[in-house]
Formats: sequence, structure tokens, C-alpha cells
Amino acid sequence: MRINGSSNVNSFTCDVTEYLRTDTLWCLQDERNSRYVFTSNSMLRLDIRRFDCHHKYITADFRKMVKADVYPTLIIRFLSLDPIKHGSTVKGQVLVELAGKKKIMDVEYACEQLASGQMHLTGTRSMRFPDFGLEPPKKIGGLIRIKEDINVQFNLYFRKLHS
Amino acid sequence: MRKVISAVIVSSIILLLVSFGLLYAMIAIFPNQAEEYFSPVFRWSNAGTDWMFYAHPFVLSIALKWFWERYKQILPGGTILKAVELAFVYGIVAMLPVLWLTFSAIDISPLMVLSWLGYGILQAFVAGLVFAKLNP
Repeated sequence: MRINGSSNVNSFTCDVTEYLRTDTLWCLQDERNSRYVFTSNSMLRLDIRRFDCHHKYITADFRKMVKADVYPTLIIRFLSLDPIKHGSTVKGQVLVELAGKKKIMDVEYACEQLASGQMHLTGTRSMRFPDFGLEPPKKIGGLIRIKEDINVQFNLYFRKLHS
Repeated sequence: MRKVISAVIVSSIILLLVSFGLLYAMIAIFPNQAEEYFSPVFRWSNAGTDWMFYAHPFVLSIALKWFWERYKQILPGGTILKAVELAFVYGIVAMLPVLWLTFSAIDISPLMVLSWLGYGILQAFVAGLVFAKLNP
């Protein structure tokens, strides 16, 4: 997962440097519209403290802003996904839980079938820190500040287990 | 007295504009240096302390005006030379020791400290120009 943000000084990218877990997402396919509907335990849990903004000051401020001490986990719960087709874009819904606030979001993914048999989904979504009740850091009377708008990029690798 | 007050007000407003200008110039010319303001040693902006930043030109103008009134007789030359003299007195007597102490106690880069020294000297120079023009 990658978050692209900017301040009025520079731009920055925060990403999770490692995610070693393998998650199993369970879903049912709706016969009427072929849409996948995920079960309630289909979620990813990301440790906020593993986000690295590649800039020591921004990283510290980012963790403080998202209240990593109180809410150390970013949860992405998959709700639904259109049928996946190689080379096409599909729409899905996720519920993002950050800093104790939940928000349902539509995400558009680009699908790519990999030689390994995995399906690579790349989703991007614009968000705003205030969507989660977060106020981006400002310094020096507000003259130096992180902007509210961010772009979040998801990189998901799926492998079908059962059908 | 009226001249003194008007000189302080004019100087304060100009110094406020100069401080904005210098900060934005730093962001444009030295963005990597300006990013140091995100360091945890600097407070997060909040209403309780933000006003102090915006009030600092007024505090500085009043302090420099007090100095100007007491010692303007011994400052040599014309408008610019008087302003230069005031700037260096302020920089050497007031800023240098305080910034020396600040650097010893707070985790900030030498470049940041030098930028504050230059910023302070320039502010005092501008204030000196205003005082020399309006209330010589």
C-alpha cells in the first residue's frame, strides 16, 4: 500500500515496507450480477508503525497524525468486487478503518494476470485526511503544512484457492 | 510619542510581510531545509500558540524601537548605515548568543540556525530603515 501526499514544501510517499502475512479472503459470487461479495472476515490489517515516508520528520508526523499509539492498525475490509478480467478495470467496495473512523469507499482496480497464476490488482483512490477526522500537521503558524488530499494506491495479489 | 507609535506600527506590519516573504522564499529556494520545520522539535500549529508567531514582528519592533530611541544618537551615518548598524548590533548582541544556546539544546541543523541569524539581521535592518526614515 502506498500513500502519495504533499506538503507546501515537497511531495512525499509513505508505504508499507513489508507485509509478510498471507490473508485468505472468502467470497460468494452473486448469480444475478456475477459480483463477488466478501465475508465479514475478509480484511487486511496493516501495522501503521510500518509505514515509512522515507523522510524521518514526515514519518514521525504521519504516525502522530493517524494516532498510531492509540490505533496502531489500518484495516481494509473487502466488501465487494466486480468479476475480475485480465487487462480490464473492475470496481469494488472496501471499508477502510483508520484512526478509529470507518469509511466505505469505491475503488477501481486495474487487473493483470501474472504468469505465476496470481491476479495482480492495482487500485487507486483519492482521499482526504479529514474523511477520517484527521488534521494534517501544520507548523510555524500554519505556514508550513501537509495538504489534506492524498492518493492511496493498493497493490493486491490474489490466488484462487477454491471455486 | 505619536511618531514613535506610528514607526512601531509601520515597522511591525512590514516585518510581518518580510517574515512571510522570507519563509516562502526558503520553501521555494531551499525546500529540503524548509522540511526541517516538520521536525518534532517544532510545535504543531494550534490556536494557543499560532498567534505568538504572528505577533513576533510586533514584539521585535517594540524592542528595537526601545533600543533605537536610547542609542540612535550614537549610530553613525545616513539612513542605510544606521539600519546596517542596528542590524549588526541586534544580530551580534541579541541573536548570536541565544541561537548558540538554542543549537546546544535543541536538535536542529546548523543551516537552520544560520537561516534564523540571517533572518533576524535582515528584520532588524528593515526595522532600522523604517525608524531612520520615520523617526530619525
